[in-house]
Amino acid sequence: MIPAADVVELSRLQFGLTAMFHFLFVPLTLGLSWILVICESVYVMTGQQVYKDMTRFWGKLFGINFAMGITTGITLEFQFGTNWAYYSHYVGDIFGVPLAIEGMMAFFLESTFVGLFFFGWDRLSRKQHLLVTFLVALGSNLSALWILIANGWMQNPVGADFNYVTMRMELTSIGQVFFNPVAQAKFVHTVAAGYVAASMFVLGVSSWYLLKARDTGFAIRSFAVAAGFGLASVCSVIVLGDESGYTAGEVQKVKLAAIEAEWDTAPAPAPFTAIGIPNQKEQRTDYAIKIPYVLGLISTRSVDQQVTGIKDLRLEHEARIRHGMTAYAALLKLQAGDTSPAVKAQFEAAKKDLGFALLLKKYTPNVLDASETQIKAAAGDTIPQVLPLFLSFRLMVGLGFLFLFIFSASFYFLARRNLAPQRWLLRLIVWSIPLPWVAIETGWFVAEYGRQPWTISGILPTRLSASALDASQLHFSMFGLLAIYSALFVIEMFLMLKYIRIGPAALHTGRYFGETTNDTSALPAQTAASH
Amino acid sequence: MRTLKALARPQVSQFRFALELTTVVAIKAALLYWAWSAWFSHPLAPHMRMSPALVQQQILGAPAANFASAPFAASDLSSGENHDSRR
Repeated sequence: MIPAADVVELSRLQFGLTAMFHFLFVPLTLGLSWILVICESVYVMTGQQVYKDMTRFWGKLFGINFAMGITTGITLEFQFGTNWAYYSHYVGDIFGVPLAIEGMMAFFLESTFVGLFFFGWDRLSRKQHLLVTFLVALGSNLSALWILIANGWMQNPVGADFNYVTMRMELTSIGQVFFNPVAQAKFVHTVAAGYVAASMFVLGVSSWYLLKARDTGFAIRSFAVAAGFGLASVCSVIVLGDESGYTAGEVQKVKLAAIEAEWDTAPAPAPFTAIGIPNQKEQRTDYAIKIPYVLGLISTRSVDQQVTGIKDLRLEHEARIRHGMTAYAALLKLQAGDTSPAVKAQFEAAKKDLGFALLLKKYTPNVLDASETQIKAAAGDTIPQVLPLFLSFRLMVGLGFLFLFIFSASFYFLARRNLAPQRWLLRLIVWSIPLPWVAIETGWFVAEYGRQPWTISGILPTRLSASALDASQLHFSMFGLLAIYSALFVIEMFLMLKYIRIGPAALHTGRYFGETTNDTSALPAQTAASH
Repeated sequence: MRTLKALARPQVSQFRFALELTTVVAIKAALLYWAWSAWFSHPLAPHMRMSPALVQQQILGAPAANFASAPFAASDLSSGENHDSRR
């Protein structure tokens, strides 16, 4: 039974909220682990105690985040089997491998080495401990790789084929799934965004210490590591974001057109709509300010290729729906026992558009009898809501350039040994700590909302992916999960703020603010900054 | 006495930190287990697999009339685990 629209929307909302909560923890783990590697590498190379203290202190904050974040993604897997049973069956053969590897990575590699990181300081040599820290970072990042391979496949389903006997997608090439260009671009863009978030976190906390003129020696070194790592990361995010957009333009033309509110196919190279208010009903963008050539150059990397507009894509999808109907007719025959070569050939020739025919299920149970009006309506459904995508994308990009400014300014003033007087910058950084999370969540929103109406792009409509559950059951589970995750978030904030307030004194080395009044770490910021 | 206290402090701190995290992780694991048993312990697609007949019903509207005869037996449809062996 196809679930009611409200059940599908509730299932989507539950999955979306859970994923967004989960991803509050992930970026900090991804980035902070590498900052620990950098700090500890300097400690191993120079033997300076302050770098060991930095590794241990930021490691504590990493530990809190790791403990709070680990397994929060498991509820997504719970939801696969229960709320998204049909989707789950459809993708099971593809997702089994990456999800199993991710589970192994998270529970064995990461958890083991995180334990060794905390309890191995007195048991391992310096180099051995550094290796452990490196493996923590590598394990965390590789875990993200497998998940993003799975997600990339949903955006660009390669290396798989539909089997009408088992009624699911089956793996034909693991190499194509792993080296899916969308997944690779998504992975590097996502982890680099995590590095930016972690850098801003370290930069922000260090700035707070500098503003309070406490632990300045410790803070200025942490600031330096975060500024350097953050600047490199934010440059990577921008370049890799461009690559991610380019690959999306190659395989998800509708998403790109919706993000850019590109209603009509403009002559090449297409202009970029910097600002405007997309009007979906009238299919135009009001008050648009356009920059000539930019969209064409960014999305096609050429001056002579067009960017197909939404109206043309809609017509293209109408044709694909009609073509998909022939696959649907052949599938019915196959399932009825007619496995003649002619029917198989008909199915094989049209099955890439089967998913488009399935969009008609929203309007009629008899897909083959769909009217022209129903076909046009189904084609209209292939266009996601443009306004939220248009605004979210611009918010994400705008924040990206703000981060570039912050890290560049931080690096510049630090290199000039003139950071302490720039109190405006330090205050801006402290207030900017949450912004990378805003950018990351809006980025995920663009990626996932822009994929609608599909769970697997062009293959399986969202509406057919969901289980026919009771709406009240979904309400209960959603509010229950929200309550659990909100509590976890509050606990994380409490522990983080507690240890940030204590500062490196939490290490009880006797060298930091609140422990002694006679140490260089408590020197005024100006003095330490000029060291 | 003061030196002894100072020496003991890092261990106490490390222990307290580990205790805090262990407590949080244990509570979280209990809550997640409770959530699983309350809402997600009877999945329609255990191990990401379900009966193709159900999927066929969802996709095609209803199982084909002669579903029992071809291309696979209806008796197999109660368990999704066995279908791949027919390929």
